[in-house]
Amino acid sequence: MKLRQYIYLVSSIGIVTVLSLMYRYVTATTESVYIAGHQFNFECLFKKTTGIPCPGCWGTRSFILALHGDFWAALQLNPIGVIFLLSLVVLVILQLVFLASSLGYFQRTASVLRRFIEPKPIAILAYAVVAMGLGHWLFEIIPH
Amino acid sequence: MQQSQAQMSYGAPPPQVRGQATNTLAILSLISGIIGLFACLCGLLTVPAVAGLVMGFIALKKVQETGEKGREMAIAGMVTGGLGLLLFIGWVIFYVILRMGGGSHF
Repeated sequence: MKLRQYIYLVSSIGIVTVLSLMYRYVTATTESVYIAGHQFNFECLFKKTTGIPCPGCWGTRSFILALHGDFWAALQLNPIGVIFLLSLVVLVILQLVFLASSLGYFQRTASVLRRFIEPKPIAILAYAVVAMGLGHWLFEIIPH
Repeated sequence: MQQSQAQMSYGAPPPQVRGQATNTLAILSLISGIIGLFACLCGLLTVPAVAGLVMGFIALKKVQETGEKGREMAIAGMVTGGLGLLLFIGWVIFYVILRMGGGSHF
């Protein structure tokens, strides 16, 4: 196997393992995160000093809630957690499809996917994600 | 004379394949920039934002030199990383002003 194939394989196994361990040992409510039953206390410095949440606040809780299937609560807390989880899932699927195509399987699927994975659409998607995240943050901090 | 003889005996150099792969540094810059933007205010997590900005600069130069894909991703990495850094600097200035004015009890 070539180096790129090893990277795809190891990265996919690593992501799936970490997500599985998190699913097994990390839980969250809308108020707090628990690691193996113990409450995880981390206070955001921005929130501590200014009193308002930062763009990444509640991202961890959102990620863990999404991992446990509670997408609605996760989206309400911070959509970045859900987007991050979905990005990891998409990354694993893409890596496995490209790995399989380099070994002679799923070549048609890989060629279709390659057409969509161009730098320009990915950059536009990144700007959209950033705009959505910052928009959600502004909506949260502006009194209404 | 000798050079032309060598070229004749070995044939023309193979054409360079340009614009095929996406620059890895551009991809890393984009990922780093986005993480940095959302993590920069949570504490001292400004490293990803700075990394996104620096890697974006380097990737942009490399893309222009080699003709690889990834110019848009490098720019996006620079923009998101730079925005994260600006937010962090803004927060630090705000915090310093707050402390100097004595309006904070933190």
